[in-house]
Amino acid sequence: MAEKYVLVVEDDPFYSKIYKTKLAKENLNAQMASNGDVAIKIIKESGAPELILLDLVMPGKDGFETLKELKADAGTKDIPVIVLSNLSQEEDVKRVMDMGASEYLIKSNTSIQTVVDKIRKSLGV
Amino acid sequence: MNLRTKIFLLIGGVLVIFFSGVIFFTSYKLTKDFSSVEQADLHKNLDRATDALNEKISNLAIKLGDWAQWDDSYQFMIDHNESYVQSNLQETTFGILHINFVVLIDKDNTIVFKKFVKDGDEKSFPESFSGHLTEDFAEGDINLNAAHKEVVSLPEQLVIYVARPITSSDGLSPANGVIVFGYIFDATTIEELSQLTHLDITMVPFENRSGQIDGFEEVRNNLSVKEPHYVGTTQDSKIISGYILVSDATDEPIFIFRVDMPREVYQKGRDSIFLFTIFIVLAGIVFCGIIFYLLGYFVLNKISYLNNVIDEIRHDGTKDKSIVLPGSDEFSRLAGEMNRLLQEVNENEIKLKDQNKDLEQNKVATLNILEDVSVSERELHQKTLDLSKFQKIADASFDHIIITDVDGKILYANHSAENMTGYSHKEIIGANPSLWGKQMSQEFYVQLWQTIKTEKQSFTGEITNKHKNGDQFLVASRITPIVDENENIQFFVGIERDITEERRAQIQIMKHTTELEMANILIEKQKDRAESILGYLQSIGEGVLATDINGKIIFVNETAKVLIGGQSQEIDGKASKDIFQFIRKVDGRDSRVFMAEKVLKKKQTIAFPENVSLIQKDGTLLPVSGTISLIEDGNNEIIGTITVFQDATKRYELDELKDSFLSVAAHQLRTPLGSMRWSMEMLLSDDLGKLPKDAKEMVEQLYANSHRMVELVDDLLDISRIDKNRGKEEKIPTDVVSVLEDVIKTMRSEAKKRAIKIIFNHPKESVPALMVPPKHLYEALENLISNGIKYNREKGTLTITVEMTEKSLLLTFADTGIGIPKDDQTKIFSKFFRAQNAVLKETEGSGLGLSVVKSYLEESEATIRFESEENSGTTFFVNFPFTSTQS
Repeated sequence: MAEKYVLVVEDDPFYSKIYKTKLAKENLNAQMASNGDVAIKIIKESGAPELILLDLVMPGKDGFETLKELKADAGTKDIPVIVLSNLSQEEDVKRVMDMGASEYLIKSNTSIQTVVDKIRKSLGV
Repeated sequence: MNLRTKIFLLIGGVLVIFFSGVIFFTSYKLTKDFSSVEQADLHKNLDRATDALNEKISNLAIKLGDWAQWDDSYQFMIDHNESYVQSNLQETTFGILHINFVVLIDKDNTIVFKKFVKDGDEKSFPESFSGHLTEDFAEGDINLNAAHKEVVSLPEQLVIYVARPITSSDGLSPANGVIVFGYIFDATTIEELSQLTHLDITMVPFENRSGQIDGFEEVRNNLSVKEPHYVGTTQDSKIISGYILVSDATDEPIFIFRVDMPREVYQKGRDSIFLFTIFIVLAGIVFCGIIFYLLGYFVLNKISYLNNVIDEIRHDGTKDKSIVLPGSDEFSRLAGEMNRLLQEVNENEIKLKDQNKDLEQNKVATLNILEDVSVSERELHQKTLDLSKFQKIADASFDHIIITDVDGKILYANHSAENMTGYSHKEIIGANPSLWGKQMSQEFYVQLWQTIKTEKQSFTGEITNKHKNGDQFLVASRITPIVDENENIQFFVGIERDITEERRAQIQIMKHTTELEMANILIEKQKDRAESILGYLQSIGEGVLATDINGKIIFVNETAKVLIGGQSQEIDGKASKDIFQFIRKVDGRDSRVFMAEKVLKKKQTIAFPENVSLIQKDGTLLPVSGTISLIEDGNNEIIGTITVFQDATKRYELDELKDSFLSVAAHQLRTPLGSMRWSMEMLLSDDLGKLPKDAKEMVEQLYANSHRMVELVDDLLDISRIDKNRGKEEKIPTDVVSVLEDVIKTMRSEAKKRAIKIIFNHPKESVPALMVPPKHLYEALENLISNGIKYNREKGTLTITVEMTEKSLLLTFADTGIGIPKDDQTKIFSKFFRAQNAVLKETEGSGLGLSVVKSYLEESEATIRFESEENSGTTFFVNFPFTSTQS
């Protein structure tokens, strides 16, 4: 049984660095994926994560497509997905929630602590 | 049916019946007679046949007698000598005697000699015969005393025999046996009999041995020993048959003779009858013919002639007609009488004709007189009618009509004359028209009389008269003299019409006409003005559509026609909502919007809602924006609507662009802001090591600034959404009081910081919930309260009041703050505007707050206004009318 981990899907290098630094500081087990394809590969290799933090605007396979794939695959459809994006259009929120995301947070309007708390809850630590 | 035919039929009928009767009876009688004759004949023949048969037998008996009483025979019986046989009983003897059998039996019934010869030759003697003879002897039929004859039916043939006792020639000796002669009764015998009797005889045995039907059954039934003769019923017209029953000695029927007799008598009879019939018929015809001819000559022709003559007379008349029937019988007498009659008729006819002529003449004369009378009567009637018509007309006329005699004395005046002049009928009749006259000049009346009396012409003109009450009145008058055939004036007829009023009216009309002309000129000017306005409307770039109060199109300009995709037929007068169809997407479906109705209801100008499209002629949707207002007349009565609209495609496109731009811009702005925020959070939480105090303060400042920027971005997005009504929230029943309470709770810390006192007054009873979007309401109220705190002086108060009236819910936010300068008050709700004193007080602020508040409140159909005095305070009044917002 692999260790519990959180999968963070984020293409921006700076955000990525922040995630990595903060989560390391908090001693939380996280894996970083720079886009949807990488994310799916990681899941295949390391097994299903406890939680996926998903960015929407990404090159290649974007967050919407990735979410769709995750929810279509029996092995991954039950993994809770929190969408973290700076898009705020009603259509985008609705679309993502209809696809089965559990929550939608606007990055610039959410403190990093909130994110850490949510991760802790899902990992049970 | 005429007489001739009748007589013909009658006579013919009678004769036919008569002769038929005669023929019938005669033939019947004759036939019967002939029949009986025939029958008698037949019976006679039958007897003859029987007799012939008997005779034959008798002859045989006689012949036998000779032999019986012969000594030779006697002797033979004693000694049975051969010579007897040799000399006497040769075959030839049989032929001579016409016998077939000779049997000699002695007294002991022993056959001492028997011989059978047939056709000249001896044949073997049939045992049946000899047996029979022996039997007969035994029975005593054959005896020594008497002769016996018998017919015997043997199996082989029929035999007739005669037996006699043999005695001596002298007859003294006792019989010494019996001698029997026999002959075969066969066809030959029959033939002999037939020849003998000249009859046609056939023989059949009585017993039908063949077993087949031989046609003799009836005969058999009818023949008996008692009745040995029978004449058959026969259909044959040529032959009649009689039957004889022949029995033997024991009365046993042996055979039947049939005697056929040609029915000569019958035939002859029939022929006679036939001839007789022919004769009778011919006689009858001849008789008929003679009678007919005689009848015709003496009677029928004469009748026919009479008939024709009378017919002729009927057709041609009695003239010169006479009936000619020579003779001295009844007919000629009749003819004579008829002639005399005809003559008399002729004479009468002539007499009548003359009388008729006279009558005709009288009739014509009378008719002429009558006609004259009738014409006169009609004329009189007509005249009377005319007269009464005239009187009626005259009486009923509104015009004054009088008739005077040649001197002017009034003979007749109608009602109008009384009314017009004021004098009664009694006063007028017999008076002179000068009764109401004498108002004109002398010359006038002179001229008048000149015209009518001297010149005998009609006078036409206007005369001023005087009413009985003294008033003058003006009349149009016509006075006509009525002359007789000698040109002498009999009467004057005067007709007058009061034209006083008329005259006055004419003057008025002329005055009015002038005024009208002036008005016309004015109208023309206005028309020109209207036309130029219309011309302007036609040419502007927006579509203009005007309807009357019932929605029927009264004006539509070129642009509107273009926008609807071209309109070829007449649309004036058509219902606007049928031609100009506006739709809007509601809940994903296109639904019609009827803005004219709305504007008429609301009685104020409304702008097209967002996302309205016009259905063009070809079905495509054209995004449009515009306004629709009421048209009022001079009395402020609503007489129609006017819609001004334009193609909003570009604008929508721009909006779309703006949207996507903003969306992207927001995203792009947020991305670095977000990462900045998080990194600063990390710094502040010592995740990257403890910061020195100054550094931490600076980072805090940076953090606050970045937070402001994030808020700014949010505000920008909100505004853009509000503009497009995109951020439209669902309206749900919301309790305003509890929302206020929530806001106040949130704001308490801020208020405490600035030492501001918040006072909240609201009614004890629960206020009705308002149909508003709760989030927007919250934000609006939050903004108002926040302003009330921010722009307040130190230790100031903010009083929030909720009041309920019948028609609305009123919220007031009264602060004791810096107030709004008079010059800035009009701009206070504008986007990004901040009054100078506000900027000084609070350096931060986007200036968007109040514009957002206003938008949100208007969204909930509430109104906002304020009262403010610089350095004193500002009070905002927010009004939620119940009719539209009450749940």
